[in-house]
Amino acid sequence: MLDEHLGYVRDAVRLDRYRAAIAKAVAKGASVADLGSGSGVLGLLCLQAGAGRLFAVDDSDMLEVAREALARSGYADGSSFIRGKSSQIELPEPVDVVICDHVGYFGFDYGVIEFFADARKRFLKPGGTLIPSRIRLNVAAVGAQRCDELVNGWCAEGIPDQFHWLRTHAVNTKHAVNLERGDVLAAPAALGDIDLYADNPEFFSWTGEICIERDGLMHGLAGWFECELAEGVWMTNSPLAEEPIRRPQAFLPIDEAVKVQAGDTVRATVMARPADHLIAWVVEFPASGQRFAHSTWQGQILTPEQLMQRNPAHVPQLGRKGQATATVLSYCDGTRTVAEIEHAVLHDHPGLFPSPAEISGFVARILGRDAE
Amino acid sequence: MKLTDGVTIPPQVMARTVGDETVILDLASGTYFGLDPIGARIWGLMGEGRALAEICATMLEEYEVEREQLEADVLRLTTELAERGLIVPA
Repeated sequence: MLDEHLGYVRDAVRLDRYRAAIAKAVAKGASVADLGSGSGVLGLLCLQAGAGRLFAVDDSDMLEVAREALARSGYADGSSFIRGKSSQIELPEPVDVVICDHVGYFGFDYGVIEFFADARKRFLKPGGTLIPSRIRLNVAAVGAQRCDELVNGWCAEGIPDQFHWLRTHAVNTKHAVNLERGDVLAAPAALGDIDLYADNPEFFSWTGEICIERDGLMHGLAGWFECELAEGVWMTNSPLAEEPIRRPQAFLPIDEAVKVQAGDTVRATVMARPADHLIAWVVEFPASGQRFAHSTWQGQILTPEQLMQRNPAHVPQLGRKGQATATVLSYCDGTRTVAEIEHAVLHDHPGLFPSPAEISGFVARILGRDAE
Repeated sequence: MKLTDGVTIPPQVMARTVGDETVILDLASGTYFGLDPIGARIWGLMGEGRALAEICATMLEEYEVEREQLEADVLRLTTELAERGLIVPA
């Protein structure tokens, strides 16, 4: 977890872009909510720029990193730390600014749309500011050895035959890939803008036409974003940009690499339900009639039982883990200590898991996760 | 729906089969629809672009079933799928 956040904090371009946006958009004394705050660095930039109050919200242990970092910066008094997913917590007061960097690789794939849709209604003062305010989505045709390996790695020489079927899943997966300028076969097509101040739909469908600029072997689509953080301040992970932030792009493969020539047209459709983490893409080559359709739903590793659970007519029952969780939580009555709960579970339900050590560990994990 | 109809599966609609279970996902609405194995076979034939009459002819060769019963079942299922927007008459 720290490794991921080290990448965010040492990304000088990213911090520079946010610093510039905050200077424009955060007034002296403003109150700020930093959603999915991670290390707290964006909140810190806001306070350094003169914000008067910060609410850092995060659902992970990184909140403690943020707490410590802000205390070490002398901002302990002006900061509050709220553990939880932003859509599941309350702020004590509405704020002037909501800031969030959950734009993922493709702009819509890491929660910012859902976070802001909720935050606009529950956290933001009328006339308040969202950072970012707009996301522009781009899609390009790409051909690169690293892309080929992501699709065909499970069929590569040396991989036992028994694993080759996993290629079907690999080709239906949104991969993170660090592309270089030379991997991109054409100028990107702009799929569309997402206005984060607007009421956005739960389902998006964008189509763009790509005009191939140089001959090559196309392995799929690459998606990236341009984010307007504040008026005139943009941040992008485009491999074509002069100063991109250090973040991978999204690679959406096609089942079969296609030879393309300068002047060819490729039609790309990307559909998404961001809140459900579902993406589908269709890539069409009008000249040859070739068409590829893929989705992350097809890429999920599912058992028949898991698939059946998607059937609305299915009647669910608690599985073993669910029963065990319910059992542990039934002892959490506001009077028993952790030790007493562990003892009671071990005594009353010795068969919950095969060993007492596993039962004790499970009790600790459930209480750590679900109890306060 | 009529037996002479062809059908198209919209691009935002996709099916997933694991073992004996088949579930259709409509990405636009975020809803799922379960199919039994016979329904899954009908869906598979629709995905090949066949008209309903062709689907019935194929399935009459594959299953021991009366034509009238099969045609009624195919029409019932495809009508429900069309009402849910999971297929579109071609």
